[in-house]
Amino acid sequence: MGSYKPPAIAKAILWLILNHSHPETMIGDFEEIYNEMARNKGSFPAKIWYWSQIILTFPSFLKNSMYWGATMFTNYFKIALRFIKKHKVFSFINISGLAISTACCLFIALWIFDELSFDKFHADSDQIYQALGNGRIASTPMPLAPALEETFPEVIYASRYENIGQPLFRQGDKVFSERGVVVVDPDFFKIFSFAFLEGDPNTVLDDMYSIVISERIANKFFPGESPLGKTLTMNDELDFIVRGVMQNIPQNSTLQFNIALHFDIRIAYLTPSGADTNSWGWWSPSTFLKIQKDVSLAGFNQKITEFFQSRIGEDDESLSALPYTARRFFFWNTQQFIMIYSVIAVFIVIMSCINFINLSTARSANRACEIGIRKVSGAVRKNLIFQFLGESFLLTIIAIVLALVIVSTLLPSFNSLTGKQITTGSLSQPSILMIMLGLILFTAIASGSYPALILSSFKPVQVLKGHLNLGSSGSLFRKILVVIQFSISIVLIVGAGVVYKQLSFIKTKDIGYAKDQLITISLKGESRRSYDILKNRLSSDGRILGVTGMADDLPNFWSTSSTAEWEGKDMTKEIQVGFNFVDYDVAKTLGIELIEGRDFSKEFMADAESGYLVNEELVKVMGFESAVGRPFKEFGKAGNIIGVFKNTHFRPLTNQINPLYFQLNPGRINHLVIRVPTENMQATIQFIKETWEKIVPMYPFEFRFVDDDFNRAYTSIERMSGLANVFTLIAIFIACLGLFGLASFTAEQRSKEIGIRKVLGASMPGIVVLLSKEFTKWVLIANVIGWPLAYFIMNRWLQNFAYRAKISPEIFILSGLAALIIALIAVGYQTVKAATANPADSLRYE
Amino acid sequence: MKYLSRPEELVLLTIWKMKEEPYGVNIRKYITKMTGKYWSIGSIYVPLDRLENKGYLTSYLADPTSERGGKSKRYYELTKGGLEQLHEIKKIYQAFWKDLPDLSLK
Repeated sequence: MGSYKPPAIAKAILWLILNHSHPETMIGDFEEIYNEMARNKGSFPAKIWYWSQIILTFPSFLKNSMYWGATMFTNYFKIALRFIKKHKVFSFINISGLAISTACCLFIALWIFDELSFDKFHADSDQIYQALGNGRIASTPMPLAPALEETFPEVIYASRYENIGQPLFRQGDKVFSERGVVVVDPDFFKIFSFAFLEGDPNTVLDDMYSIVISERIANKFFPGESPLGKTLTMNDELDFIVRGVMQNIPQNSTLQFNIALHFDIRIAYLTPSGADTNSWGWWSPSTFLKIQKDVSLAGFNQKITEFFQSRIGEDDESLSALPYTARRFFFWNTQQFIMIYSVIAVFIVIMSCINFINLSTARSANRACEIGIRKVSGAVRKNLIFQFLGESFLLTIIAIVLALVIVSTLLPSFNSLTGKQITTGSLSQPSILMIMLGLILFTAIASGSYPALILSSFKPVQVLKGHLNLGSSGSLFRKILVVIQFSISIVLIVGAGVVYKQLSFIKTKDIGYAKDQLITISLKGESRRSYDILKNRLSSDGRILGVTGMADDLPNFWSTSSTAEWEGKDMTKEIQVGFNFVDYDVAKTLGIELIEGRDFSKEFMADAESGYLVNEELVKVMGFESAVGRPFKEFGKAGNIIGVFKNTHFRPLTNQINPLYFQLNPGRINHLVIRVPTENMQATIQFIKETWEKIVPMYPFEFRFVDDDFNRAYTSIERMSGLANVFTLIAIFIACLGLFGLASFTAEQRSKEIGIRKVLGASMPGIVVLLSKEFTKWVLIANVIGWPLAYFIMNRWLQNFAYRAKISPEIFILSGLAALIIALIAVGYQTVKAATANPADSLRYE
Repeated sequence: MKYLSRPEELVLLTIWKMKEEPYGVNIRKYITKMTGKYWSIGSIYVPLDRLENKGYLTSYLADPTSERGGKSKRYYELTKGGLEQLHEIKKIYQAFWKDLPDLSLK
């Protein structure tokens, strides 16, 4: 008898919705009737009956729970709104603090998601890899890509990729000198799915004299017509036929180019005659691979390394495949800023939560009566917790709406600060919406739960009698929170200071040559052939301090080779040595200091055939005391070292100075380098322009200041640190808001004490000092906590640079002082107000 | 005295009158039989609760049984107050009905 079981789910629902003093008895009744029915009529009708009972119970359940819930909710809502209205300063501090911090978080989230979206738009982005030598060098041997594709079945496609500077393009009477011109293998567009407007990406570069242009270039040369099949002339030497037009490359691609040419063009026309383009010692292009799915990366790296070693004949070299989607992190190091920004975002949210907690608990006296009455009228603790958490949710939601307004109005300035192109549309992407939801939940719960617990614990009898003991533990808790806030602020100020110092260190560091006085002009076609005439004309003018030419442009010389030979070189070791081809007067023009020997000079006939200038670092690598006169050989040119120059930074300061030599080779000059005096610079440049236009009138006069190019290398760091500074200011502002609120609370609490002190003869400054002393103490404690933390963090950051500014003590002292002054200003208004108040007002009711 | 609602009255009468074990299922069966109307389980328990709160009924739990899914039966009994209340109700009704003219529907 009696073992029919009603559906378990139905039973559970019944449990939940029964609103009765003896639910278990009722459930038992239901079950008994169910059993009887199941016995008499079968279990199916019984089940139907059971379920229908539940459905019938629903309306009254809803009425009971919703109606009363809604009534209480309106009451809570009304009270919360009244409280916001009544305590305007308090609400303003809370809501604006929360809104600003939420806006900051949203900005940071937008920035981070944009960074994370880099290079993910290619169809098979997870199958694309970049081959790196020794795990970090982007330049790879010329024959690497074809060899990998041929040898390994895992490699579906391989392509080389190399930037070829700034050639000149002509179409009819339109002439433009374009940056972002690259040479690639035909498979390049099968590896990457850059979107094409016209042409078939699979066949677009099949012919050697094909050219692929971006929409922007197409609009420049062929406005309003289809460029397909039309001709573009490069450097007035080579004709290309447009086979494809791609969409402009999105900003979140690490590969940025406007024009793509066949790689054979580089081999046939852009390589010194006599150079062996199949040499494994010649490292120049980047290599990109598309690899089959499910290939184990470790195994693949192992295989290509072995292959690579056998080809170059070295066994301490390695080759590895870097996932293409990790390229942004790898070469731009943005993960450190993702880290920094995330930490700042968390700090800012914590600070605004601390404000909320501090102000709510400090203000709890105002709510004490309300809580007492609610408790007397039957509210249990759960109700009150619900009420106060609800209030913090309300404030957070108001804040997030404000934050959205802030974000959408400030987005253009944010974009110009960060160099991104984020639209308001990206605020609605799911991940950002999740962040917003998370922010609401976190801020509301983190900032609401402590006050909710404290406020709901008041004893109604005591509260209503007027014995409100706010307790010293509460105020200690508040002090700790303020100290945390200021410690964070001090870390941020020190951080901003160190970043600023490092940046100005980089900019003002004597890098070894006269970058402020140098301008360079790219040479191509006819202007390149006219190099000698240009040089002679310009150097004959008295104002110009020096003219020379070089193959790799200033300020960065990236080319390296491993085939240089010298006396006693350990031939078993591969040593990458930087090089550049230069013209006479290079040391004089650049202003580099020779510590031994002499500059290239026309007075020595042998220089043209066999002269080498080397830097100190190379001398050290070669292991000589004195290098002048020793034999040196590279690119088939056996010669002698004629001079040694001081170590000079021809690479960004994130890199160590590498061994470097200059070979005198006027035939390989691509750039004209001119040193002009700082005074009268405009007039001198005007003179250069006129000379240029006389000699090569068909080419536009386009020059660059080396200084600008040098600084451009640091714009991304500068941008990011600019952004970090803004966030730091905001964080400090939020901390001050909180302090301001607390000061007003303290002043109010102590108004009677102040009144009595004044009556007994205390002076106004005395009272200001009395009130400020406490805050000063907190800020000083915060300094003690903040300094070591900041030192530790910033020391880590500086490890990114090969050349570092010192973290000096005055940064700490200055930031501590700054924090103190800011804090005193924040509390100053309230303390002065309290100190100047008339004691009769505060003591009237005693 | 307090006036009772009609369902309360009927439930109170049922418990006084019925011979079966006075717990939820039987109370519902009896009252359905007597009135000829549908009574849901909930509509029995609401008056039961109220009567208990007013002190006219007491209840106690019996041992749990398996056909009730391991739940106990709750038996209800009239208290002294409940009995007095019934007397009172009867008295009032009798007073009202005494001189009643012919009710037959013409």
